[in-house]
Amino acid sequence: MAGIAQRAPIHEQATTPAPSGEHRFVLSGVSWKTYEALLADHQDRSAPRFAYDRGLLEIMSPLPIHERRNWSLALLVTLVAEEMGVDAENLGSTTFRREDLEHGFEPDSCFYVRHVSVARAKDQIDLRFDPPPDLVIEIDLTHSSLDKLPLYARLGVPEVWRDDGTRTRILVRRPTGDGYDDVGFSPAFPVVSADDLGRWLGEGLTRPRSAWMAALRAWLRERLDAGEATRAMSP
Amino acid sequence: MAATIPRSALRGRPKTDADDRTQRIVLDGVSWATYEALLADHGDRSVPRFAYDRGVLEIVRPTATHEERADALAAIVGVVAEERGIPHRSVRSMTYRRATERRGFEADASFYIQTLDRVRGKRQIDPESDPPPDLVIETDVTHSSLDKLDLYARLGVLEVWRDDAERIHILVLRPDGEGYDDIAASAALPILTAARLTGWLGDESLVLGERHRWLKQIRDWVRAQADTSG
Repeated sequence: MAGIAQRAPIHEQATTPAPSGEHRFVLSGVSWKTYEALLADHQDRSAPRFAYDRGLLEIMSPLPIHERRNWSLALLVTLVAEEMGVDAENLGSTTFRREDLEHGFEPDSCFYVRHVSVARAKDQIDLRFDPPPDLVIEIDLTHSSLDKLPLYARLGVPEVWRDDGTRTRILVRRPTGDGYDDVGFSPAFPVVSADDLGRWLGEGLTRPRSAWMAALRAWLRERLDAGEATRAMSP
Repeated sequence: MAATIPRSALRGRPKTDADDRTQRIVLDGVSWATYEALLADHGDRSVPRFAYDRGVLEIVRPTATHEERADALAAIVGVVAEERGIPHRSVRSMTYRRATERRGFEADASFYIQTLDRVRGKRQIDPESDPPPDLVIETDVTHSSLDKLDLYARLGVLEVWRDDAERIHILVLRPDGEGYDDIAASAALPILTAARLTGWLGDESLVLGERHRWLKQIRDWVRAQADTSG
């Protein structure tokens, strides 16, 4: 009688609010061929996004708050890169996959920074020969049941910014390639810390866009000037 | 300073309310071939359930509560058919799909009753020539974004029992096949009314594990009807 035998009215589930952030669905026992067929059906769309790990398929359909956080973080990267004078290419939710590993994913956003020339030179990125994106942004507000970190690790993604709605973590792939460490600062963009990301993301969601961009730029310049001054003073 | 996140913190997150809610996702732009590939990957598994309507694919993983209610309604069909000697087939969540219509569904429970003769003895039902189940049961329709009734109507399902979380509705296909009428009594099993089904499904004894008594009560009621009517 334990388990399903609850005295609460059976109907109450219908009134439970819908999940906020994104809709996720994980299917098991999906063949690589079927995964490819679904990708082919959806090739011109950025949503829903599919992730595949040896038979497990996650289908994620973002809600507006998910996309707002994603776009704010992606815009932040763009501004940081610009202020740092670093060339970065946003490949959005491009599909990355490797049939031999039976792995595939479509990030919320991703950037080529160190390997920017790859992203710019190629129409098709083949992970067997080409590097993965240097930075992947992942918004996960509803707790994915398909953990994508092992998948990113196996495909060699060096850095992941993962936002769970309350904080944004900067995760760096271990040299052994078997997972990620939560670090304070971004190796790709050392000017920003995880705390900075959380703070600027929060402001980006509430302030008018142009005011936010101007404030972020001013802060970045100050930060970068201070950094240069420090460097100039050191022997 | 690198702090290692415990693996458990990233992987096994605490169970949330979301886990107790029906999981559902709708994809559009899905080809018939992809729908068939997904069905093939899932073989005879009844969960999750796939419904397809001309490019729109809905995938649903019902909660235990919904499964229990569907099972209870199916048990009522079984008892009534048994007591009244009504031949039928119970095909559960069988996939019924017709390529020519580009539509397909898997209900929570499904039965052949009125058109039983057309599928009698068939191990494999061929949707291109065989009829759909006469009666289908659907216990979780509250958040469906795919018009399941239209799908059932187009495929010619005669009767749908819907549990909308308030009550059970008995929906019978209109003679012109253009939709369903919400009516009082079942066409497949005329002894049953929507009000009676709603009452039985609201019975506490079901969730208290008194299902054996609950079923017996229904059986007794069906017998009593037989006694008075003949």
